[in-house]
Amino acid sequence: MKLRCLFYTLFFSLFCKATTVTLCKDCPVQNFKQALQVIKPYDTLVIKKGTYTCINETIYKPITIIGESLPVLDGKQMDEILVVMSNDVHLFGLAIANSKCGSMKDYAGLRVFKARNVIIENCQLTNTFFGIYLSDSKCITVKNCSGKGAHYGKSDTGNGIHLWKCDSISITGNHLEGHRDGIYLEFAKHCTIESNLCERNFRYGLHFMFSDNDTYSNNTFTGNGTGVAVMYSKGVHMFNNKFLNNWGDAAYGLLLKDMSNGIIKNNIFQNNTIGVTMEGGTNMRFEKNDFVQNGYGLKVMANCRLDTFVLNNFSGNTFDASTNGELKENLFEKNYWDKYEGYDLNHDAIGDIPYRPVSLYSVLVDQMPYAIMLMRSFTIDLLNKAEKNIPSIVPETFIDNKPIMKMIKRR
Amino acid sequence: MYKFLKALLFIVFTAISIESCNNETPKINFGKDMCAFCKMTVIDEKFGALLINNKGKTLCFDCTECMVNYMKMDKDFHPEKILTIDYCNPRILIDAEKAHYLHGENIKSPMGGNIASFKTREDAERFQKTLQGDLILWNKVLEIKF
Repeated sequence: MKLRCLFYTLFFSLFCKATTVTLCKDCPVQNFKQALQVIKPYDTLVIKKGTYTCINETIYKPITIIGESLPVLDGKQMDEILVVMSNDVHLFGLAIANSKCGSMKDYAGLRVFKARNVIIENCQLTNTFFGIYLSDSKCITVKNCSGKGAHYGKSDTGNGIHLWKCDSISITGNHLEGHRDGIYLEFAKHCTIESNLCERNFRYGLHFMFSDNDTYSNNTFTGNGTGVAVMYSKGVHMFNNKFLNNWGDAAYGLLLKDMSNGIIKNNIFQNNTIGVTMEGGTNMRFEKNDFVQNGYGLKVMANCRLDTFVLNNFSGNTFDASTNGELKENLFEKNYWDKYEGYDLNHDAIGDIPYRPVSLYSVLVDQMPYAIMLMRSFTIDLLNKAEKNIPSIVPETFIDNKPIMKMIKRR
Repeated sequence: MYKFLKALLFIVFTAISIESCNNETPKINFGKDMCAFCKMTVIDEKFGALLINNKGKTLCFDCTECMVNYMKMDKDFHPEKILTIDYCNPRILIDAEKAHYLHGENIKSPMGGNIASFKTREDAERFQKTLQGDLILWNKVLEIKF
């Protein structure tokens, strides 16, 4: 049966002819618009090195476009640059530059609209308002692309990769810089976001809104305006990511707002004003994460329920944790806290007395921000010591009953 | 020396008094301010809202839907001024209670409430041609469950 299938495919493939159209300065086809008209479905368009004007060109046919040594499609800041409205379009090695910027319409460098099975690989976007804009699409791959926002360092720029009402999208190995949000997902389901680097974006490195059942892993988010925000989503899994260097008034490594059933595992939160801030989180599981050298390691609001924090390392944070009320039904167990001063008499590697990660001073600072003046002073040390011995102000339920004595080694 | 100190004191006091009399209309610091309801950084200049109570306390929102949600949540905050941003004039604040609103799924406001505000009815009607959606007034906006 298999052989017969193979025979038929080979036989019919004799009648299929895919041709190649070449676009270059000395070729019969010299501009991009003409090339799109000449080309037939399932053909390949090869673009040689050079700069080609491409203003709001739409691909209606399933074709493959291959750029040789990064040809530039220039939008001349007139409109959008390239729009894909067909299934099975493959784009390789194109440089897309200079889209229009404006606040009324979301001009994109490359827009994919109502399409399936589109692959975008090794493309470079420069000076575009929105980089890659995927809407109403399914099964799209964006791989090894890079994007640098227009208006570098100003607030009026769009998102690097923007997803709206999408399903099964894979975003891998991209480098996004200087956009409003590096990667933005709204109503996007079953997406995989892997090995991306988002840095120095104006607002968030990665931003989820109403996007369920997505996974992001092995990404690095560094120096973004306010870190990464995952909001109003269910079942988002975050593995092996790095959240680094987000300093500022309202900056954090990761913001979780109204989330449920997520798993956060093996991540590193380092050098942030707040490592993780969680508001309205239900059934979240924090496992094997490292909270290192943050202002606050963890900020858990009192409206979080049924969350689990196990086997995390907390070291070098100014405040390990903070909250704004009584935490209920949350479990802290077997975490390592470098400020733990207990002992382990039975040598089972678990401290014999419980640890309260919220210090009196962090409660004070939360209610009176100006109390930060007294940081590291003798008075505060005394107060904290007194509170540790006779707990009365710190939330009673915010407690790790089995703190681990030694830092948990990873990797 | 005494004279110098007196002069210094005078300068300091005038500076403080001028500073405290500073009563300019509040504005949103785009890219810096945080929404009081959803905690997101306010960045989209076409959307945004402000609540000011009689003591001058200002709360900033990234969109109208967040402001409405906040007003429903925090009944103790009695706003004296309710301001929202004119969709046609980004960054310009207008009176929310007198504004006209366009509500429909083509309007992508930051928190998915699909609502934009306009100062005049003509502007709203002009945008309704392209964006579609329903034209509503403030009392109807308060009834929407965002």
